[in-house]
Amino acid sequence: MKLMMAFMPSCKEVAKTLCGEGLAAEPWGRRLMIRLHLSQCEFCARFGRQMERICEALKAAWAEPSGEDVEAFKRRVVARLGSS
Amino acid sequence: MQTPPKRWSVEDLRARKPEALTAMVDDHLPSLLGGALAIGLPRADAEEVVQETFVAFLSALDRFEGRSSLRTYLFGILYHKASRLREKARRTEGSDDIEALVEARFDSGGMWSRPPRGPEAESLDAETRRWVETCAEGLPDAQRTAFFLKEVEGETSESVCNVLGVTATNLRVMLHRARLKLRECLERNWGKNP
Repeated sequence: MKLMMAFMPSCKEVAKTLCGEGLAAEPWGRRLMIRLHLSQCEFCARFGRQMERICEALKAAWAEPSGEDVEAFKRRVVARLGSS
Repeated sequence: MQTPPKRWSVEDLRARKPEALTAMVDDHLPSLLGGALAIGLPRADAEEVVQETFVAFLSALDRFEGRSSLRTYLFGILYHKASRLREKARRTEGSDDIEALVEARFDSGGMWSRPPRGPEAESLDAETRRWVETCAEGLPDAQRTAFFLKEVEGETSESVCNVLGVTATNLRVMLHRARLKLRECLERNWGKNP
C-alpha cells in the first residue's frame, strides 16, 4: 500500500493531466494510478466531470450549422465561385 | 474527423465546373462556417469570411500542393481572414495569469487547498451551458480556434498546428490554458444569470 501511495499522483498532477491531453495520452501505469486517485478523491473527480461537461457543452454550441439558410448560403457561394 | 471523399479534381475546379464547385462547397462549407462562428464572428461576417476563403483558395489553386489536407488548408485561410477582421474589435487581453490562479488552489504537497466548486451533474442545464458559451467568448481567438479544431472537429494536433502556425508545445499550452480558463470562469459564474 505504501509503495502504491508513493506512485499516486497528487491532486495538482491529476488536474494538470485532465486539463492537458487527458488520460489517453498517459502511459498505462500512470493512467491506472490516476484512475485510482479519481476513484478516491471527490474534488479531482468533480474537476474531471466539469472538464467533460464543458467540452460537451461547446461541442453542442459549436456544432456544424445546418438547415435551409446554410443550403441557400452554399448556393450563393457556388454562384460566386462560378463567376469568379 | 474524417475528410469527406473527394468528388472533384483540381482541373475541374480550375474549369469552374459547377458540379465540382458544388461538391467542394458541400464538403467543406458547414465546418468552415461552424469554425468562423466559433472564432466569434457574427453570422454575417462569418458568411463573408467563409465565402472569401473559397474565393482565395480558387484564385490561388496552383499554390495548393496537397501537403496538408484541403480541409486544413481552408481552415488556415479562414483563420487568418477571421483574425484580421477581428483585430480591430479585439479587446486588449490582459496578462495570462490563469496558471498562477490555478497554482494557488493547491498546497505545497499538491493537495487541493481551495477545491473546485460548481456544477457536476451528469448533464449541464441550459443556463450552465449558456455560461460555458459566454465563458468561451472570453478566450483569445487562437485558444478558441484551437479548442474548436481539436475538440469539436477532432483534428489532429499536427493539423491544428498548421492552421494556427504554432508548435506542438504552444498548442498544448494553449489548450491547457483554454480548459483552465473555461472551468474557472464557469465556477466563478455558476448560479448567476448568464
